[in-house]
Amino acid sequence: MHHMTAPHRRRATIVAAALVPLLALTACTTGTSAKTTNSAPTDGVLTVGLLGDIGQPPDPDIYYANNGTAIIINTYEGLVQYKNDVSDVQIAPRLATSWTVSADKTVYTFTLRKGVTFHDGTPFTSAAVKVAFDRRIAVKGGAAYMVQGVKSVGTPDDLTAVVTLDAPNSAFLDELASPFGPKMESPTGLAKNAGSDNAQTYLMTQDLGTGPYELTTAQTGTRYELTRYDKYWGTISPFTTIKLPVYSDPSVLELAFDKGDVSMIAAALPSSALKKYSKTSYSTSYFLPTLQSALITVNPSKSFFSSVDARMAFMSAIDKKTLVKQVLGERSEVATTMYAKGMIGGGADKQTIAYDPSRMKSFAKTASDKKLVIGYATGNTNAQQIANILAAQLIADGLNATAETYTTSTVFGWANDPTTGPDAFIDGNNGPDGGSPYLWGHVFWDKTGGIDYFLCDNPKTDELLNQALATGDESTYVRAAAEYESTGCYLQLSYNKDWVVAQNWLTNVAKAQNLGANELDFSLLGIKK
Amino acid sequence: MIAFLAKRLGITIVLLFTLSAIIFFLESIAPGDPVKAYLGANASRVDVLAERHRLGLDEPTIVQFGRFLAGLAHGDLGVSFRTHRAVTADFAVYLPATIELVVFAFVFAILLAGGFAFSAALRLPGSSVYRGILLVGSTAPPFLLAIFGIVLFYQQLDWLPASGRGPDDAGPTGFLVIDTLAHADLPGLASTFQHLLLPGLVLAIAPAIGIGRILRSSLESTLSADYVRTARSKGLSGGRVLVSHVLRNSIGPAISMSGLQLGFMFAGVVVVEQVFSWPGIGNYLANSIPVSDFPAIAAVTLVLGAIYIATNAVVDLLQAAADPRLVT
Amino acid sequence: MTLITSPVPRWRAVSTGFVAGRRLTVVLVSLPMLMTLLALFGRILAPHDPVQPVGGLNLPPGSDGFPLGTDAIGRDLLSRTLYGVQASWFSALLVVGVGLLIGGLIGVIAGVTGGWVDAVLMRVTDLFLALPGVLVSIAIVAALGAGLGNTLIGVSIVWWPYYARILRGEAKSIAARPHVEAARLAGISRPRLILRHVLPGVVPTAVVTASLDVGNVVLLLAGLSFLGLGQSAPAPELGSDTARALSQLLSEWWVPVVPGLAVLIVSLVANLGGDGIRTLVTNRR
Repeated sequence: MHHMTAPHRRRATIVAAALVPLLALTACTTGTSAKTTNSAPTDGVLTVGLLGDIGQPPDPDIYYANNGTAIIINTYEGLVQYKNDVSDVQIAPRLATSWTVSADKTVYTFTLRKGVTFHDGTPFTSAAVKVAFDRRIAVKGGAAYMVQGVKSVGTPDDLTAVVTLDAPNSAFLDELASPFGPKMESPTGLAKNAGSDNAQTYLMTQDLGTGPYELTTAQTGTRYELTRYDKYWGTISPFTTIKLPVYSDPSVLELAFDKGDVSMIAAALPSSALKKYSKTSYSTSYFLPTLQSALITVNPSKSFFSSVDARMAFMSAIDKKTLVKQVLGERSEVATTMYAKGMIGGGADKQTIAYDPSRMKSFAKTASDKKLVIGYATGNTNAQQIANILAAQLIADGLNATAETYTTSTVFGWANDPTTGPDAFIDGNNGPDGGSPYLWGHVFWDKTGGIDYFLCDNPKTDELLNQALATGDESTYVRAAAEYESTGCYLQLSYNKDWVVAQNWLTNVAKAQNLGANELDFSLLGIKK
Repeated sequence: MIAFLAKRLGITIVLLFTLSAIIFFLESIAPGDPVKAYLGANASRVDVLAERHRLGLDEPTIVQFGRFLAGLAHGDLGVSFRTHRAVTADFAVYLPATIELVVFAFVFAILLAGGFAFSAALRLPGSSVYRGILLVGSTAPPFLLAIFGIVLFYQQLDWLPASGRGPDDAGPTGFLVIDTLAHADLPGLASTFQHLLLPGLVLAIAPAIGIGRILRSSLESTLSADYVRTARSKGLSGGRVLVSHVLRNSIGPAISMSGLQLGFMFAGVVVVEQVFSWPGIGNYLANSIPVSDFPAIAAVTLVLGAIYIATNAVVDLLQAAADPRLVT
Repeated sequence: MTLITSPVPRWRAVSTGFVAGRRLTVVLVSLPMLMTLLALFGRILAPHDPVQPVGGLNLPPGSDGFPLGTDAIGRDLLSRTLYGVQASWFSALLVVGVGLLIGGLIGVIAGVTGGWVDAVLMRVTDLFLALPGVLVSIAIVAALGAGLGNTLIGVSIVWWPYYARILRGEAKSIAARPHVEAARLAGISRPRLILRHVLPGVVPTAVVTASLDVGNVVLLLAGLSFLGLGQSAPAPELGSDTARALSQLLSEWWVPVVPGLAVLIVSLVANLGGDGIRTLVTNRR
């Protein structure tokens, strides 16, 4: 019967042997840079990999999220946009060729571009402006607020639109230039496909814009496809088709790019991939300006941070320079101001909290409550690493610190009851709707704004922001920021850049981007000759 | 038999009702505000509160549950906060994709399990290599296994695609294998199978071991049972004994395990669908949970629950057919 | 056996009895015990604090002083793995133990009693089988707070039905055996019947099923870490460490693969140990 032992013994060795190829395979994953270049497409197809679905329907009056902006800004156009390829906030023409603003910031007069047609063939005229604004109000999307203050839209002729506001608003042009701002939609098409929901169903899978591309396929969670609009008024792109396949896993997206199946990835890969793509010979990395930042906020509703002292001690313990260098890398630079980079001339809105870890060390000794939770959003690996580093540092200070991950809906649920949130939150990347300091301060600092996660509020800040909105006065914005800094709730860690990885044959990448959009105008991209 | 089915159907309805009540209870204690998924991340507090009211999210859980049931009675599962579409419309796309993948993987798993069990019970030479690989594969974390599969078969060998289902679906069923056949689209069919192969294999390995082990155990004990020896000594051929005696008498526990594993596969499909960007309900669920897209989560849970319960009923039926003594 | 004189087909050899090499069986069975020892005392071997950054960032395995390398914030992967084994191994044992206890109890009662009790218990089991574990865990964590303990409660709630379903079948067939039937007719009380006659018969299947299941739980916990359900960072746990570092797989592969391989080994040990126990139990029977 002893012969029966053989298979058993063999199995044990086989199991060990089977581990070896797995390990060998592991080693393979890093050796990807064998090829020197991927060839340019000859069929006019540009493939832009999306990481995760776009999250909402690609309807310009609904869409208020992230990566789907690529579809919106290539199928629709607004009256103005942010200027491409510059690193400060400048408004540039789009469907309006010029404009004037009344001294009291209530009347905006636009001269519209001639010869523009919607994708349904109808001409673009001043009548479309009011229709688009009205639809935005009717659909009640998150960005409807941008046109809520519009009192009337006058149309003295086909190519002039006069927008009158209820109250002075120095940020109105910024709102119009935002990728989430009102876009022009064919009035005829909207009426024809209105259905019972203001054409919301129709615009889930098609578009009614004037942009360089038409939305021809929209399979939620799978893929989107844009087709060149040949009667476009501007530059006609060499790319006849833009394919936007949805990948749910960053590693698989990376592999597809390395193989050349994907032409370009914008703002989707984690910073850990930076090193690899700085060495690959077949691709080029671009670091393009944005209004996005990494932010740290603390929760004044938690006992640990109930005092300004505690909050200030925590903020002083954050070594911005090291964190940016270690975690964020080349795509970020240390933030020195309260608002986004370049919002206030000369950076007068300086952050004054200096790095001084001794403050937290001594505070930790006296703190009665030693438990501290640092939160970050699920899937944000940069924020995860920052949270882990800070937690380790606080543990060394003698606190019982942990780093916890929260789903996005949980993060947004804190505003209903801030005591349910963590003590601090690391926001790896976030930004305003547009380039006006008001759009930054209101959304991050005012508890009615939208991303003031823990409702940390300073009434003086809110008041100053509202004053500054009416006048556009920079010094008022600076005072509002200084007031908010004194709460100790907020620290801007870094200015983030838009990291685009593209195959070597793709050109004009920087020229196709502006700091407000975070996505590229595909029609401006080219192929290396 | 008809009485059995009718009773089972009645119980199933009660179970699903209870299940949906539990889901509503769980959702009411879970944190998270789905309104931002609907409006967008930067939406203001005022807009969020107004939208909560419009969507009825500020009402008591019991009222929301009542509305859900009323909708359900009309075949309406609500509207997804994320996609802004009727959940039933989303399901028409995603459910066939998942069923196709799971059925394919299940067939795969049965074949692998059969190979595992028979090769072990019959001591086929060299088969321990196969079993060793299967065993190690089944113990690897599924997401690592999936990525390794992609590195090997997509990146290194370039044999198989790494994401999606392949051709666009031209209808009518949503099952690409059927639809491509219906349109006589043979390249489409080939592409469909290519896309199914890798995720199917990754999904199949763990259940294959689970089923294979049970089958192997019962095969071994049946092979040593007296009546098999008798059949052998009567001069029946090896193959006939194997099928008509050994397999028939060993299959019971394996059916039971297969049922459980099929249920687990529908739950385990989430990770595989994520890695392979498979547009199925696993991915749909994975995208819905982080944003608390409640109608979508409730619907997926109900459908998966129904599949579980149906599978268990079928297992009970099959077992009763295989061994009438077990019927109570 | 000596009766068989004709050439024996390969598969037929099995019917000569199944007594595996005892020595190998002992080795297999001792594997989980070794793992338990490692989980208990492994942290003594850890060269560094697993939570604090101690070296350069993302140092590859074999670096000076860091045999398995370091992670993205400079923590020693060997130390994290040694500590992580403890969390993963005991979590898995706990979930399986609780599942076995609750599921075993319900399964045996249902199997022995039969009738409407059986029907009700099994439909309740079906209901729990149908519950999505992830959703339950999220709700539990929301109600009780984040942390490994609360996640384990959530997982245990959805884990026992598996045992209930398997052990109910076993109990049913044992209850139908003549000697149990006779005892029942002799008027022995039901609890006594279960304790004395059914339970001893169910134990082998239960142990085998459970030992094979430990690996599944380790993998399940690893999967839940994707959603932030699991060990709170920065404390080490194999599944969470793998899941959280997955984005580095193509740049610094060792950061996710070292804990991932540890998951594989833990799971393999549980499986091989289960095989050993199975052999042992089969031979005893």
